[in-house]
Amino acid sequence: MLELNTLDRTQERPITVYALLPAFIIASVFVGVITIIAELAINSAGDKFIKTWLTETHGHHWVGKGIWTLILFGVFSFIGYLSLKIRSKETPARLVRWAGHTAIIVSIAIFLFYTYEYNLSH
Amino acid sequence: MSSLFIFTLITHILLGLVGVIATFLVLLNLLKKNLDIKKLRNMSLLSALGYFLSWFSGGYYYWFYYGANVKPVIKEGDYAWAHLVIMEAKEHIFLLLPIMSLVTVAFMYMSKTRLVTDSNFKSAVTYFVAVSFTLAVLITLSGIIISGGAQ
Repeated sequence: MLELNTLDRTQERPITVYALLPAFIIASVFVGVITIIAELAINSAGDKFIKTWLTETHGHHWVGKGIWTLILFGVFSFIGYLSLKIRSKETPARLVRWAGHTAIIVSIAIFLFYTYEYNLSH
Repeated sequence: MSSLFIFTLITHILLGLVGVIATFLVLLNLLKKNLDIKKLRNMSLLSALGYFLSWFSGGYYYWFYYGANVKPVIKEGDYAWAHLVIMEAKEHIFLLLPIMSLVTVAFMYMSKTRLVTDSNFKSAVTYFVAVSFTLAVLITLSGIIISGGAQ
């Protein structure tokens, strides 16, 4: 457990900051997953039903994805704030690096998916 | 295109550029040996503001104009990939940027001590901001390609 009593509490609120990182990772993965699944999930009527649901609920599927990304980020930030335990001095830096890695992986996945989809149909 | 949509498109571009430049300044300042926390805080806040406002103005333009008027033109033209690959990737990857900017603001306001005293943490934050900046640049370039596809 990180020894919080060695930190200047007026200068830093570690758990608040570090709780944002797993929340960002989850929200990023959600963006990647919903982006791909919304294009691939087709019901028996040939409808991309997840995209349709997002459009009907939020006016536009992309707006819906943005709203749910923010909601997930907020919810998991709060959960992380209540439950996150920093077990070593290295954990904060490790969490930050993983957040960066996740952003890269998700971005590449989204780009490759659309490139693949385009090449399939053209 | 009506003046409202011209305004939202221009706002989207300019505010996005504000976000990108401010992120670059955060990155530059993080690379310094002695951190200017006040500057880091101001630039990170400016970056977050730029991205969020660019998101809203671009979103409005995209929702109420681009989809019905620009997208079909691109898809029917010689550069259909400009929408089907570049725009689709851009609009979804962009969803990460405002949240990355919020996290960066949190670092600057809530981890001041650790940024100054822990070089490993500072290095990790620098990497995170560098990723954010790289994505922002690629998104900006994508916007230029899409505009070209529409022309």
